[in-house]
Amino acid sequence: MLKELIGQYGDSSVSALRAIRRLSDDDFEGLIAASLAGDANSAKKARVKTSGSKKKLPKDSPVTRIAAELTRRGLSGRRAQEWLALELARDGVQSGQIPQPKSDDVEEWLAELVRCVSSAIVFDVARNAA
Amino acid sequence: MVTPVIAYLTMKGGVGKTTLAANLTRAIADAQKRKILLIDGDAQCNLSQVFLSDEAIEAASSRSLYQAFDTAGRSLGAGDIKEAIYTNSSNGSIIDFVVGSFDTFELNAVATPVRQTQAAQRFKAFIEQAKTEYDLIAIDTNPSATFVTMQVLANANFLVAPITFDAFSMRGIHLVVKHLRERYDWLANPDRIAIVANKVARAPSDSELKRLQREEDKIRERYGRSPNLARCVRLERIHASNIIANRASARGFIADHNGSADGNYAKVVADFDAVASNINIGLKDAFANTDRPAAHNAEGADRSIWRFLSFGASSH
Repeated sequence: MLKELIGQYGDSSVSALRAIRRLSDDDFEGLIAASLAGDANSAKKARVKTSGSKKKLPKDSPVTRIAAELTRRGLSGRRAQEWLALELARDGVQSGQIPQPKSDDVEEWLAELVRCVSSAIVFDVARNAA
Repeated sequence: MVTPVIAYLTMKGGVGKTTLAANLTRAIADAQKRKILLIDGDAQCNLSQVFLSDEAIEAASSRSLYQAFDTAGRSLGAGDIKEAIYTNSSNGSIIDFVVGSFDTFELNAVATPVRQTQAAQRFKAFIEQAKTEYDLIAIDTNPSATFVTMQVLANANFLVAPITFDAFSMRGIHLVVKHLRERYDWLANPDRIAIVANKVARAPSDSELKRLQREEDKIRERYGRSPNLARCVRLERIHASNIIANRASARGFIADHNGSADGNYAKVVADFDAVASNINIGLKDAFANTDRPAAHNAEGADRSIWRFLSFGASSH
């Protein structure tokens, strides 16, 4: 049954259900009421807040510039990360220095990458790899 | 592991060598525990003036960089002439400083070839001794081919070259990298060179940004041949700031002026931290990862050169 639930709702939802079990009745009813009270406007505001909460990098930051080179190649999301990881490894960068992609957010992954590999090398590979 | 000896050098004055030598050294010390010897290798003593009063520099004339070259006295180690200028109480890093000396002019101008040879040997012994006592040595230089500057290059193994994207600034780096790499083979190794843009507009317009990137690309294209020096141009930059331009506030390390309420000091310090972080990666790459595959060098024809130059095989 657990497998079926995970298949239908995902593992995070199932874990959340388990967390809900620990709430008191009052807390549970309070959260339900708060959820139902949320109208379309507040949902929209929340979405705006979420998208705006990501720190905007300066346009000449190393990460922004490397990401622009990937975009120029028509690469984005996981595909961009996987391609660049492969090219860096081909270039001689040790695989242990290259972080695993965790999401589609290329800039987040690049920010982690340039903490281990010189951004000048990453930029050169992103721009010039065959 | 080989001790890094960083030369802060280009052949153009006013591009920020001294500012970078002081504040990048501090940022490197703050990033991780290191024992660092910072040396003022410029007879004009600009770096010494960052840390000491003119009177203190005069008073230190009997224990300055000149003594590291002087063949008349007894052999000196860094311990005989250094000033302690910084201790990081959190991570235990220290920075010792060797004061510059106007007297090194004599070595440039009137010393006989025999005396110059002796002075060069003495300085080499001084640096070799310092390498055993410190994790990192950083030397600010005069922007010309003086005897002292050439001795610094002869004993260094890593170059930090500030650039301001004007024609002469780029030519200043070109002179060092293009011509001197035939004399000092470590300069042909792209892992050993960091070209750092300085005085870049903090919030450039789109057209200014494009101009900067075109200028940067010019360097990449110029040095992108054999071996691949294109990646020496670092993407982390030091932005233009009145704080750096103002000599009074540039006394001491800029990081020590953090009390300013306007937050601009923090931005400048963050710039130095970002460049220092990249330099730290570069130092790790250049001196620890000595078995990097030849493919790291982009041009097939240079792969044998890469293997030849990989550290361990080099004398520095």
